[in-house]
Amino acid sequence: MFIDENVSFLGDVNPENGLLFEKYYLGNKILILRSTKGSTVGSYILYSLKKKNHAPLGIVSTIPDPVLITGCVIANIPLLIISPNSLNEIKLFISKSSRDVMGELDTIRGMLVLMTI
Amino acid sequence: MVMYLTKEEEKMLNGEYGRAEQLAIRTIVKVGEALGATKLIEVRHVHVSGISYFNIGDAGLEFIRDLARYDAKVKVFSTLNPLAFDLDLGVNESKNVEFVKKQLEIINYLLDMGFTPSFTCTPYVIRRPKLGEHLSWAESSAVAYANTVYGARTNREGGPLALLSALIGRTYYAGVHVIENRRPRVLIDVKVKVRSVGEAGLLGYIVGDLSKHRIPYIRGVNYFTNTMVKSFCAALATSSSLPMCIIEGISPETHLLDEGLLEEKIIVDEALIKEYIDKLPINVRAPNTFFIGCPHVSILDLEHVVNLLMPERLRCIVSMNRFTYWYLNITGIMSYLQRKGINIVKDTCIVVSPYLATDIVSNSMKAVYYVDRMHHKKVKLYLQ
Repeated sequence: MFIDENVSFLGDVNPENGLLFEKYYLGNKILILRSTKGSTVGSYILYSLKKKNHAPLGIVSTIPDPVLITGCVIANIPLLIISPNSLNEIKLFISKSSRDVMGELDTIRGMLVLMTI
Repeated sequence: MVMYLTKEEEKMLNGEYGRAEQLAIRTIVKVGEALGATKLIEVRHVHVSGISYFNIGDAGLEFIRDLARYDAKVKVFSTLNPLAFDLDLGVNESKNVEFVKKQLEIINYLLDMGFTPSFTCTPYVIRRPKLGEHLSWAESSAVAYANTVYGARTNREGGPLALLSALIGRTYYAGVHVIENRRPRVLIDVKVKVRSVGEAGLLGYIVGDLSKHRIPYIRGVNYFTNTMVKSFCAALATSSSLPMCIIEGISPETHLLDEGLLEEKIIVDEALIKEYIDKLPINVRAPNTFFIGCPHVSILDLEHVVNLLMPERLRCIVSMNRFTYWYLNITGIMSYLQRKGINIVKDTCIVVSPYLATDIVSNSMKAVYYVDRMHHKKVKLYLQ
């Protein structure tokens, strides 16, 4: 899932139903975010998502935000930080693709692999 | 990146001091490595956010309960953020037995660990940070204030990381602990007059939104009371992931400005302010309550409180830390305020308490932002 926005996990994500902005379900997806902001309670929201089985399979973002990193470490969610340019390339790839895009996060090499299906 | 650990830290990592310290140092090392840290540093004061059951839920409770069962103890002066209700007043238990029980369970675990029962988002009022000193603080508004106003050094830590930091008295050496990372990257030239706490908050929100992760250097703010700086910092941390900014005339570290490092210059004028007022959901009519106290009102803010009281003859809630509350009691100001029908609460605030949540008009940009997002109530930012 590609979210081209600056997200605050506290406030923007509901850990009870796993919805971002009350409409995008995060579970079983790789969440690609522009960046994160806001409350330091955000780490607990990621931990709650994991406990309630609504956690994304992996997160990709452009800013190494300590709140995001801590949440990923305690919830055991793979996290990849990429450059804003790489994010723009992903955005272009997804917008040009007429078919669904599938992503795979290679946690060993720290790579995001995208393919159309 | 390989982390260098002292012999003492190796022992913690190997579990010689128990499971709580082991879990703590393991997590901090992992987070630190992700941020490029090569060592840990000792901190003088830890401040923990995320203790309201309303915010962290069962998962957060379980996280804290696990640590308590591993016999976790704080190793350094450590304070706590607000919870979901005034601890002395409580709430109507018959309706909320489960909620109250779980909130008290969280608090009891933390107090057993040795946390100071401060229950405020303004830990700098309890222990004043020193220039250059290392802290491990969560609570984004306090982090912004400690770095910006005192020149102390703390990243904007996640609630659980700060909690783990307290258990070993250390954090990772990266981010704004490193002086080079404190240098401004954006110059903000303020061309408008900022006259109120509400306007200061709106300006902070705009600066955070435009700077994003780049530390801003703010020029042109010539009238900023202590309360206005607090409001500014809280709003800056709401719209961004920034741990700090540098404000000319306020911050002790203006010498960190290196013009060659600036990536952008932004002018804030009336047109830009108006654009944000129109764009943000901060002007919805029909508020029924005036709210003051985000961040918590302290003694220095009292003049603002008294000036603002019931401007539109609304119901009024003022939230504050325990020390201010007791000060008001001793001086008799409390009974004066209560006679005017003002509801004074301590230990909590409207953002973290479902019991206080209501439509509000407030002078706090941070409060209107989160009350809109979290409680889905109508909000209005009071700019006068």
